[in-house]
Amino acid sequence: MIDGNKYIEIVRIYFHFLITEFGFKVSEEIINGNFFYRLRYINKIKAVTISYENIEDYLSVFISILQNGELPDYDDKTKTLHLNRINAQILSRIDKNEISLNNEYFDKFNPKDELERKLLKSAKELRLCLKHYDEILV
Amino acid sequence: MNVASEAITFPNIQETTTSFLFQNETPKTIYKGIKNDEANCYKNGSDLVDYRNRCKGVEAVAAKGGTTVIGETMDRVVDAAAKIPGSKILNTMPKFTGTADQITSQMMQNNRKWILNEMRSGRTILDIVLDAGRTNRSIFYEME
Repeated sequence: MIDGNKYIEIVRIYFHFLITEFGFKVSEEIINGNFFYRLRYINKIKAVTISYENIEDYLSVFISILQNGELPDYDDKTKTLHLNRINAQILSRIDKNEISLNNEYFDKFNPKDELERKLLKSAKELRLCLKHYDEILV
Repeated sequence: MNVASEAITFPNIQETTTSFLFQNETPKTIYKGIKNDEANCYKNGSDLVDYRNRCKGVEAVAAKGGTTVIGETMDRVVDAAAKIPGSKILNTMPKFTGTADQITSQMMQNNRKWILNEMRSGRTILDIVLDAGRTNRSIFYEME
């Protein structure tokens, strides 16, 4: 179980590359008691959402392809792309050297518990996915 | 008019009302649904009066309108509600303290109280149902 402010702080640190490398900005921050937390980043064509249902221990990271600037229906799997799904598609296309370089970028972080480890793993995967976003066959 | 063998009771009405709400029917529709089955719902005049008064109350409250969105996975619920002007979701959960079990219990009670209030308020309950992409079912949605 993690405090909402702590969650937001960790996400902002691990996913800071979204702002510096991919031109996203934070569009939404939700802390609903200690029940549900979410941070959403947005740029001109897509949004990245990193949310966590605390009691359920349900971490969700997904990319939404904007439709005329609007978020698509969450259940539209062609427009709402969950990280685990797209990660499976791109992993086979990436050489080990690139994966190592990507891991090195995140070496500066030291996750302290299971959730932080999950968040860091998601951040690593997301960075690779966004770099190869155009190659992803949806 | 035929007289049914079983009397209508408030718990019975509540159960019927709840069932219809989960099918996203408006309270007005609920009234019609119950009324159609009224011959099976009461056995004497006083029961009928109670039942009709209760239904009128539901209809009156329904006039206030508004939609409450529920469903599995908060991301879905938040985003669905954002597209419905004036809609409401469970976004007022307090910050509970205690052990993990105590917090879960308090959240569950809070969630249950909230959904009951929403149902009694006469607002339309929009249930966006299960998240097909989710592997573990939400205990909170199951309760709702």
